[in-house]
Amino acid sequence: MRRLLAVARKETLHLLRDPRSLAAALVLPVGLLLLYGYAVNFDLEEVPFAVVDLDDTKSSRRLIEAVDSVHGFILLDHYYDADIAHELFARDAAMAVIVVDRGFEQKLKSGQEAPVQVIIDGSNSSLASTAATYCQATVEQAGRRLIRDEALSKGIPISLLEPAIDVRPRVLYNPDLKTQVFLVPGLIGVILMLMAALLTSGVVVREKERGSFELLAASPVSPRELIVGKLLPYLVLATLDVVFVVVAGRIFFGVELQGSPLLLLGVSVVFVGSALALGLLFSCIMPTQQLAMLLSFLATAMPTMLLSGFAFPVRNMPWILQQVAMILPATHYIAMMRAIILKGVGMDIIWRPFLAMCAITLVLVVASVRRFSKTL
Amino acid sequence: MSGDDLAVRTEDLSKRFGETVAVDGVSLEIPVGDVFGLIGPDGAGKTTFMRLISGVMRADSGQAMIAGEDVIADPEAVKQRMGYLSQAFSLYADLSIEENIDFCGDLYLMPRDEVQRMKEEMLELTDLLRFRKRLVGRLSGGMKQKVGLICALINRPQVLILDEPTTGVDPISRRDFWRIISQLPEQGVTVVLCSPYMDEAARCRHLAMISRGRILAEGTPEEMRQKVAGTVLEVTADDVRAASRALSDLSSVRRVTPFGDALHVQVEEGREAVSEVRRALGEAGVDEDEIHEMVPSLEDAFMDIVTRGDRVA
Repeated sequence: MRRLLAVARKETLHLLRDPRSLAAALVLPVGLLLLYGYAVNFDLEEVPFAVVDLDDTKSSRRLIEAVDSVHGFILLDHYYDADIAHELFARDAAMAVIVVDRGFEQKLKSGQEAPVQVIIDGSNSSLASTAATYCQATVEQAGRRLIRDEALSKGIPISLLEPAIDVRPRVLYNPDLKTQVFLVPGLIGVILMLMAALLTSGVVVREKERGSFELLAASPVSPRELIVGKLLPYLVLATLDVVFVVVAGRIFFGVELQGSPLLLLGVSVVFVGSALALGLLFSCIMPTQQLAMLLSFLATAMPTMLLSGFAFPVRNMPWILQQVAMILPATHYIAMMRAIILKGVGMDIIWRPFLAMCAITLVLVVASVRRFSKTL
Repeated sequence: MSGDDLAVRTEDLSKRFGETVAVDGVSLEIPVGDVFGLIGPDGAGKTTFMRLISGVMRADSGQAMIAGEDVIADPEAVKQRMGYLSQAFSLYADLSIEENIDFCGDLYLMPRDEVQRMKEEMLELTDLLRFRKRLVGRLSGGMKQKVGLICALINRPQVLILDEPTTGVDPISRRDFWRIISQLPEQGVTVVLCSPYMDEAARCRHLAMISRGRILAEGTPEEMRQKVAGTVLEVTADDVRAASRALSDLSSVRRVTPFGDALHVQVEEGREAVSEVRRALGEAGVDEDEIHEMVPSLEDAFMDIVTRGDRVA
């Protein structure tokens, strides 16, 4: 134990004597959170649209006015040919073109179906599907108002016009369906995985590069004392990072922590432990600091971003990728983070991913100890 | 000699790196309390041998017993009772002298008050006390090596292994260094060091000469000098290079080594050698100032043994 603490104290001194790296380790995670948090946004903020009004009647104009008055819908201009959509979409000028056919008012007044075509730019499928739903709802609502006014003017009771079933969705946990609320807990997982693995990727191979490895190799220190001793100060540092990014998520993106802060901290310590152990493992097997850092980056960044459920749901993946996702500590952590931060659940709900993550962390620590060789 | 009196015993110890045989079947016996020097040119296998016996590197074959422990079977067993100072700087540059020493004390689980006392004493002895808070990275090469020596001694080792401890070290630090080393045998500490320096070799009680991974000769420095075949003449001449050319071709001359403004000429045993040398110099038109027979230096012995050894190989 004394040797372990001596190693931990020595590593702490290394950290404190290198204030620039220390500052980077504390500031970079928050910086990455801001960068990704602001850059990645699937929200549909505004829908610039054009109109091809071939009917040009009082009703068609009222329909367009009604759509234009909806928040976020911005009417660009009127055109007289539906083919204008290609040109507008090519220039990224509009997201939607609303085409009102000739005879719209007439059909409406005679009680027939009065179709309105909405052309959507589908080059970005996720934005397009949101825009399509949004446009459809808006145009339908505006149309309903037209019909109601028409009915009122003819003295028909409104109750006959309203749909029999009125669906009123109520969204829990993220009522405004903001991307950030979904993204930030996952982003915290991705950033911590990346940073923590990078932090420790140099700590063993550095001793070899600087010659101090021989001092350790000739001493009676055991691989276990050395690896765990090196892990401890970085565990404290990475836990500070957890606090920083969670607080930054609250301040900058309004992601409130609904669950227990202590639970979140406990789960996070085990998670960063796994990333730190992975960095240490690479540090034991790679010949230079640069290679160890590169490997840490490659082994954490890509799989974590793609497979951990950070942006793409694990349950939509093919079977084999789901299995890969299960061995990534971030998959379990991100699931738990969403549960704790957004839903405020406790250990009684998340014990399964928690145990899985503990097992992964343990395996990685043991692997580092085993792969550490005291010979040159 | 019985096993109990031996601090180090190796048998047929070998290590190869690819095609190169760095240590080639080395068998050595080093008694307790000895100051043993392994002498050889760069690349002879000195550092590899030191690493093998200190358990820092695994041998390919052979045996090595240090302080009664089998280093090959269990490299960890002896580490508590062994001190090792590598040739390359192995301290932490961003830690102070004291922090480095304290860290080593902790690694060997030495009582804190004893570490404290030894640290004071050794820093005083090596004139480093006033730099105790200074980062090791900001020390001179000699000071670094002295701190390294203190760290290697902090666990009161029975066997101290020093790999070229004074290479690149200023003369004053070197003196401090040897002041500590020469005290060790009386405390029962066995010192095993390697060095390319002959003056350092002369301070050892026993020597072994190594070249291309093989031990070529063993003995006290005195015995080593006597191993030189033939007689060594010191020739002082105006034109040393011309004299060297004139003598190199003589059949009775084994080797000519320049030594400052003189030549060390190693010749076959016998009286007629001096007259033959004199005659050859006369024929070449070189004015010789002085020719006299001399006690071979360790360097002569070293050169002779290494060239003969290489010729056999």
